[in-house]
Amino acid sequence: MYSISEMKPFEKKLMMGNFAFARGIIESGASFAAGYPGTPSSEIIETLAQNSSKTGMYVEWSINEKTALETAAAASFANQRSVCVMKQNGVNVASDFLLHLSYSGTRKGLILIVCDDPGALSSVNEGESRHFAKMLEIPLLEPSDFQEAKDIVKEAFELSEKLKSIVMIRSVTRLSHASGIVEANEILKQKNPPYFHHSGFILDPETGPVMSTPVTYRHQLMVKRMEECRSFFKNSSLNRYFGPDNPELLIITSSVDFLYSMEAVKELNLEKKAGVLKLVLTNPLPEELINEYFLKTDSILFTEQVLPFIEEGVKNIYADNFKLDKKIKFYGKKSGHIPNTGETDTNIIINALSKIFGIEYSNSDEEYDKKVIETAFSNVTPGREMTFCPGCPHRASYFHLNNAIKLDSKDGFICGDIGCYTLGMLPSGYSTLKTIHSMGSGTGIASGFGVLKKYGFDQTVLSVCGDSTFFHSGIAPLINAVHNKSRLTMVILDNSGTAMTGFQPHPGEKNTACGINGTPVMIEEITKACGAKTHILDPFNYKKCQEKIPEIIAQDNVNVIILRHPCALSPQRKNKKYFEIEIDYEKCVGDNCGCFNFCTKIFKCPALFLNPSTKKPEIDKTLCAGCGFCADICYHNAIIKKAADNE
Amino acid sequence: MNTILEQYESSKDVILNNYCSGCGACINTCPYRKLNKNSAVIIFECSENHGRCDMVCPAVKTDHENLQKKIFKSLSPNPMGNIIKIYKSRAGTRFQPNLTEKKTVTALNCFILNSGISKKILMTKTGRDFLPEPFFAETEEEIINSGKTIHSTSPILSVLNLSGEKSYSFTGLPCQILSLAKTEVLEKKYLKPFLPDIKISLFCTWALYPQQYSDYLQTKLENNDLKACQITSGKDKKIIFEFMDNSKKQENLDEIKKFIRKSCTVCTDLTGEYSDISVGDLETDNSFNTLIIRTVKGLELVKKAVEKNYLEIFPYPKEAQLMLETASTNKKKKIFS
Amino acid sequence: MNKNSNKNIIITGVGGQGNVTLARLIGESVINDNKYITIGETFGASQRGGSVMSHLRIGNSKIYSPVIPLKKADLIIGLEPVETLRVLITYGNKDIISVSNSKPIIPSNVLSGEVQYPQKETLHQKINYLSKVAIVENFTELGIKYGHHLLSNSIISGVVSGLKIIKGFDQNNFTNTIKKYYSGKTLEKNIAAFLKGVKMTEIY
Repeated sequence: MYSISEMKPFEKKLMMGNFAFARGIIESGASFAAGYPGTPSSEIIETLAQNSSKTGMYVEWSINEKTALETAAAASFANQRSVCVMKQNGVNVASDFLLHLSYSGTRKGLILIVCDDPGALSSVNEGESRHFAKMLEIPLLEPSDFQEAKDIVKEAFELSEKLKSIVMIRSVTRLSHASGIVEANEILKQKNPPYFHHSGFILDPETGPVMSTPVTYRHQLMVKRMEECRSFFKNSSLNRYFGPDNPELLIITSSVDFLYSMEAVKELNLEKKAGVLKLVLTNPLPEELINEYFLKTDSILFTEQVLPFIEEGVKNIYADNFKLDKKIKFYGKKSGHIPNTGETDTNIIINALSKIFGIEYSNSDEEYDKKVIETAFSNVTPGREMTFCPGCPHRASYFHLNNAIKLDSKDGFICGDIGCYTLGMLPSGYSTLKTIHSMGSGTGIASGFGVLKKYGFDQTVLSVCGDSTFFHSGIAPLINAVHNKSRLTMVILDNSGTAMTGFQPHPGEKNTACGINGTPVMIEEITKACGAKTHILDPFNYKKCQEKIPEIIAQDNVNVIILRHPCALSPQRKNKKYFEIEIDYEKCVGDNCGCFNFCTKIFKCPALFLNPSTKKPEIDKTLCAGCGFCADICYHNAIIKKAADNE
Repeated sequence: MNTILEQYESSKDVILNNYCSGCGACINTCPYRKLNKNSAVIIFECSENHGRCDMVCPAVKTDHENLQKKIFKSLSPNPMGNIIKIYKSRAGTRFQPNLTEKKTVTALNCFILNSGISKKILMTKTGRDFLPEPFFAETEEEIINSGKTIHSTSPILSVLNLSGEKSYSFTGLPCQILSLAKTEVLEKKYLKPFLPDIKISLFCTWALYPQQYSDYLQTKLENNDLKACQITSGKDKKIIFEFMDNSKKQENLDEIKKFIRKSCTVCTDLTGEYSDISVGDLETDNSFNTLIIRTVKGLELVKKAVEKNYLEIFPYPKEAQLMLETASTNKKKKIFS
Repeated sequence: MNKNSNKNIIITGVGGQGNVTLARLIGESVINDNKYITIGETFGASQRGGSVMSHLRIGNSKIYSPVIPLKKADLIIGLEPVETLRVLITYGNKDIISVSNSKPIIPSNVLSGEVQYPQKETLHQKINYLSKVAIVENFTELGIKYGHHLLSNSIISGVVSGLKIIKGFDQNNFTNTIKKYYSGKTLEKNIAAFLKGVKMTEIY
């Protein structure tokens, strides 16, 4: 879609933050990129992959974040600029390797771009990655707008090469998934023949082996490295200040909070009273710069996303400053002016500033407010719970799994993890999902439940994971379950791709990120080799699933069921219907189908709704994906499917 | 007559407390439920407080006074319910010499088919692994061959709506007959299945959980196929297994009593009080049945069946009637004590 | 409501309705006429039936946040009527203009019977009540008339263009942008749909 590699210098484009990062990577002449998909990070690798035929860059969707970082590190060791991209949860996965990498150091520039998701807009936690940088003692950069997102990449590569260390860039959803106008720069040519020098002296950073030992020696280097980093940034133009020379209130901020803070100051007409100090290097914090600002103001407000990272860092610097003989009042998350949870925005900062300055902020109109309140209380905006798309194979899969669990009558449940199928916790998945944690955890937890049979535990235990998740971290817990003779059924919801994040390929498929032929690794071959009895079913094969799945889950061992059908939005299915669906109103018994229309009330496909006046279901043809499953579940054979004619 | 022995207000409570009789009536009316091992299971939760599943469930509290008035237009003082006539009976000469036993029900059902009253008979037959299953018999041969007693219940009512059968008669147990009566009096706005032309009830003191009983029977087989099993009458009851090679084996009845459905322990209806005709053993003479006629429809049927030599009837022995009344009363009493 | 000529536009709807694409299309169309453009996207529920909003900010004075503050929208483009109303309640003000598709997409808790979906007339009336100018039409039906229900978004684009709220959002710029996405018959149909939309605003 975006041929960002073809942009000329000074050409401007409306660009998503993630495209800006991708362009920055291309401009820096990187030759290697690896990552694992996860909102809001996926578009970076995806865009690099789409442009790879023009840039010649090697781009890889790796099996998981740890492996992605390992492959990217290898490129750095072999003298290639290289980048690794993941969402915040990915850093947890990669952190084991990261710690060692921090000790061993890198060679050619290596950058880790992490996209956090404050407010968990599309995550199951709002974990924050910045503390990793602190723990691992590596530099951390936080760009604050779209242009900076692109430009920072080059700076990061240079910093990495100076320090011989991986450099972390932290983005957030509102930067990665928002767009602004970005001006392109030249593309650097970096042509280094890949070669790994390893025969030199053990302590030689250029030619020696790359390892974390001798540990204390290397750790000393890391401490020194952070000092060097601080000095590089002493006069950096990236950390910028906007406002009066001696502000009544200094706002110290980073990332998108810079944008919110600027807008809030403008909105409240506080330009002459409040100043904004935008930090880009947030680990290590620019101590000298901050000490200078302590002299210019008496009160400081911290605006940042999720944890009080800058706030605590600056307070540490304040505590260490023996020369300062005045008291500064701090506002932020600790003082309650900025919330500790969820994402921040302009309104939150407006509220904080109003409180601090004692201003009454009102942008409302009394008459209009009255109308709004009246409307809001008239029950005209029913909530909109997330649900599986029309034609989604997961809706069918959960229909079968719920059926099997209930028939089994042993108060069974499903342990799950992250993917579209997390919606199994909601009514559209019949609320069957009862534990949700990190990738692959469902099977690990199920394995633990299953061995409790020793103490008389008799509930039926299932786990679900997606096809991509299976490769990412589903294999180890399966082996654990088989080896320890646990009792569970692992259900792999194989919809042929990493659907939730936009159909990135995974190791089970023929294509790699760059569209070249890869070697598909078959899920069923792995599960069989793990020693689990493996059953492959199509969730849209109603009869077979209804018959087989209850039989399988009742068994006293480890079974794997692969429920395989491509996602309704996948390229092979999108805008193609299997069936045209009609309703035979002579046969439909409406409200007599149970006490409510079974198909609309229970199956809850968005394309099948109840007409309140006729009390009978109708098909919304503009939404229906033609999967035909509703015809299978109708007890009165009143929903009719006819093979669709797809031109 | 005394009523209300069932404690539950909703069929969901019936299911959750394991008092499901496995009749299949709620399955027939609602796709939110399914059968598993011949008991109803709730697959999808529902928010209706008093749904049609509750209205047709035989184990949900029944207002018998009201129901009797609606079905029979009057209340009966008899512990066996409404009775027009009571006879001792057996299959008529028409079946000689093929039918050697009493076989009143078989005879009546054959007559219903052959005289064109109904096209099919909905009854229970033994399926795979001695598991009972609902079955529409269409020929005399099918009726005779399926007449094997297996002492466990089938979810016979679950097939009513789906089969869409219009012309059929029904043979089943008192709980199933009760559910049909409840279905018959449902308000007009509810979708009702076609109801049977004639309802014949078998006497029933208890029935067994099919799966558990089936598992038990499997252990008795020893490479032999089971032909039939019978419970002896009189005191010190035994169960006799008859195998395909005509060999027999007997066990103390207590052996199988542990498989009695929980719902049977609270059932108050020995004879099927809402039937057209009820048939059971005759305690005083094992070569005859007891035949209770409750409705005019039932009376007409018996008359014609006798005329056409399908059935033989004789006056009912006084002492037998007393015994049956006592047994019926006891079944009701047992629940209260 | 704005202190300057910048425009705050919210495109709202349900996942899968082409919300994000529409925002991008408008943004890209006017890139030569405006110094600043930002788009803030809510991606999470974009394909899973949840509410989805895109915030589009366009103008020639400096724009900071890609997220529009509460009560600060100038125009709401609603692809679904309940969503239009939801956004009016949080981002509306006395000068707001709304263009809304009246075709409902039923939420799953309405399907399950927990809550009711409001009557068509009620929705219409409430949207009018909270907008200075409200255009509510079944654009889906119109789209079907023009060949495909998905043409509804091009008709809506035409209506927005006709209202002349966004500087530079005219037929020429729209055509140049949509050319990057479609060609041949589909392109022609989209342009025709756009013109139909422009025509609909002649009465305003």
